[in-house]
Amino acid sequence: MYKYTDTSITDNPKLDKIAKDLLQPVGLNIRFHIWMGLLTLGLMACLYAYWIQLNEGLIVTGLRDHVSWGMYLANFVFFVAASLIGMLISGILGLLGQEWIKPIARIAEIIAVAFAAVAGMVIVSDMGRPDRLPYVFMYGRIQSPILWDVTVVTTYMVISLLLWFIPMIPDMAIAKSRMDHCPKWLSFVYNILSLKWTHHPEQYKILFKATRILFILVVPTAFAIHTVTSWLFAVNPRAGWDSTIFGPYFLTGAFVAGSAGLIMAMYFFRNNYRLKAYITTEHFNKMGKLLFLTGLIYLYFNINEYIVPGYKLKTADAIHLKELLTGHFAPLFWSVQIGGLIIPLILLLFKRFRQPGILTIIAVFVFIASWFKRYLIVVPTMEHPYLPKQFLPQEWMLYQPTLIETAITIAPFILVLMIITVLSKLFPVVPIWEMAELGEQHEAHETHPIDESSLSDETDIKSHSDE
Amino acid sequence: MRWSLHLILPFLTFNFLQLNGQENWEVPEERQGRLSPFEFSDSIQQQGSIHYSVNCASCHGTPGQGNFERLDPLPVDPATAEFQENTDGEIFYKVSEGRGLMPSFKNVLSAQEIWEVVGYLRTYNADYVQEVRPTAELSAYGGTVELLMAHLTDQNKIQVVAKGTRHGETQPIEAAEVALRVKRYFGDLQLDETKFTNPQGIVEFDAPQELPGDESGHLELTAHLVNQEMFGITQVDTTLAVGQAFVPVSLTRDRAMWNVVQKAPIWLLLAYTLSVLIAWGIIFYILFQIKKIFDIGAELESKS
Ligand code: HEC
Repeated sequence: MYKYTDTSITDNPKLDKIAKDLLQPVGLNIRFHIWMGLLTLGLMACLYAYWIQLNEGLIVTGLRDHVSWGMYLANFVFFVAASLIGMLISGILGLLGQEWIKPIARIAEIIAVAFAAVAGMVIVSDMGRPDRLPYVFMYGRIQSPILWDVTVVTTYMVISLLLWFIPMIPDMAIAKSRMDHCPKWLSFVYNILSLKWTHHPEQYKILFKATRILFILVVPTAFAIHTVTSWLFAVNPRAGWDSTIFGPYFLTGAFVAGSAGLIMAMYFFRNNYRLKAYITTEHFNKMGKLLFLTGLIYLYFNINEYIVPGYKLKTADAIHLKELLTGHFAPLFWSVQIGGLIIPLILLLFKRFRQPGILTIIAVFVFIASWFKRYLIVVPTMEHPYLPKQFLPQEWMLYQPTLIETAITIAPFILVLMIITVLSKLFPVVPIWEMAELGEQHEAHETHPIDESSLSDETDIKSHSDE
Repeated sequence: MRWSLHLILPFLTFNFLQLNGQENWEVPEERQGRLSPFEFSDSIQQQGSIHYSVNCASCHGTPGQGNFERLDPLPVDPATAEFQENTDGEIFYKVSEGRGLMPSFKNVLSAQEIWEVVGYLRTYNADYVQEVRPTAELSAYGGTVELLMAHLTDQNKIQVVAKGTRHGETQPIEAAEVALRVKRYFGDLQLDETKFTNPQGIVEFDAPQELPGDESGHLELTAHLVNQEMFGITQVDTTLAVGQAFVPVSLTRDRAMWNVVQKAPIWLLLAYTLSVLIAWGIIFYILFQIKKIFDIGAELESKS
């Protein structure tokens, strides 16, 4: 049935150079070991903190009867949010036929896989009795958004994993014959993961079909994961959570956080993996615009979220808003809104702020602000229950995270970094075959005076001169 | 320094006065000396302790334990000297009328029951010696008083008749103020205004139209004579079928969002199951496709 092997890819003269460029950072060098060693040390320290919490209970945290969802839940929401970038890049932009995302799509998927995989663990850290986790499945009620959340997070993680893996199959085949410097076990892994890929057109046909179906599936799944996460809050009639726009509000917030995360990752890989020719300044320019767009929508939802209750000023909302705008959360609130949203939005209007370096700095601010924004969504509402709080110990009135709690909050970040490190060190972060293909198209189009669709093959210097 | 003291001092005194005003709970003089019409026997105190645990313990705690609710102002522990300083009449008045967070119980407990509670609370006072209201003062009327209640179905009215027996002679009581109450979950509900009996000793109240009763519309009604000085504690309790028949439906009988998983709404079960099936169906289809990629490669390999 399959009589020939397609050689258009393997014969591509550019493939050699591209494969060499993209496979060059792959492999476990000394820097990898040092870095992983440091991460492991950090993780051990955090696990020790968790060990204490496990033995003594949640009393070692700042959580009490009123604020029972503190940093842990803020962290969980943030992790789910950050993972959504995979869907935005591959799903939405991919389906819209945006070619420029190709070199960064895999990085986005790695981020998605890492954050989604760890998000589940974050939720467990909020449990005083994690041994009762199976009860969620044994006695869980299908009516509870918590059960829906568990379902969609798992589903999304699997889809992201597939979206990372399937487009990488041809690369595995390309890499296994070219990785002479890599350890034996790694070529063994490549061999297995290449699934006997022979660049046969029939195989390509299946690959395209499979990824296309997944692109379509990942969009509703990702929408579901963060909408359901927002429902964990919005189904409660409490000031600050009792909102009908929480779903889209969380979703756009997630795109902001994810875009910022992706920009940071792009910057790191571009410089450390010497990928300037593949992840170009134009990619940063485009990501800067994407960050602007998502940020603008997020700002719009923020305005809605505060002005509408602020106009009606129901008693509980009034207390909540006062806490945020002028009360003891005000410094954090305004830093997040101004430093993490408004100023970045203004700066992103100018092209010079969409250059790799400066854009990454902006992204760092947005990323950190995104975390604190989640904190501002979770904590102030919990500090103001409807029942009056009288004659309570001070530590019950105001939530104050402890050191142990902070360490346990940092642990998931270390885990994410470890997953990203392993995935990006064992496998090429930029798809080789897609780059080669783009190069080919580019050549075919060479006669065109302006060709924007194939930027990725251009060298850094060239795209600079384009501006 | 002196200046600031001058400025602060008026505020301090003002605050102090205000606080004092808040603490002092003035009871009208004529009520202070009011005494229980019956002796606080063991069985009475037993009754009182039941009323206390049902109505008061949630705020005042177990007497002597100081485990009262931290409200503002604080509910006083009944075993303290501060509490026991109250005269019987003062306790009766405060419980009947209430103030601020201390609820008024005059529509919840009958006068008889409030006195029973007072009797119970006095068990925490070793020095207490009860003074019972002298028989002569029990009722100025000077005889026994009886109330009767009936439902006049044709006019849908509730009729209360007051009769007194004095010097061996039974007569209707005229111009006595009658209050009619119906038992509800959280205390009693007064029906209509209080009314005065006519020369035949009769007073008629409009029967409630839409008040839910039990399965056959029964309501527990209580009528009493308001003027205790005159008639003592006189009341009649009757159950009449004047309410709407009400068959309570358990909120967990039907499928609902708040019910157990076996009683989840159908649409939700469908939506959840279908979504999961579709998503995972597609995922497995994709896995199958991946296998196909492998099969093609394997076939090509075996050919070459
Ligand atoms: C909802 C809570 C609550 C319940 C229920 C309650 N109390 Fe109180 N009680 C209070 C508070 C608060 C005060 C103080 C009120 C004040 O000083 O203004 C108080 C004050 C009192 C006082 C006056 C004490 C003093 O020295 O002045 C008496 C007597 C009293 N309660 C008896 C009772 C009895 C008897 C019951 C049950 C039939 C009862 N309370 C049920 C809250 C409650």
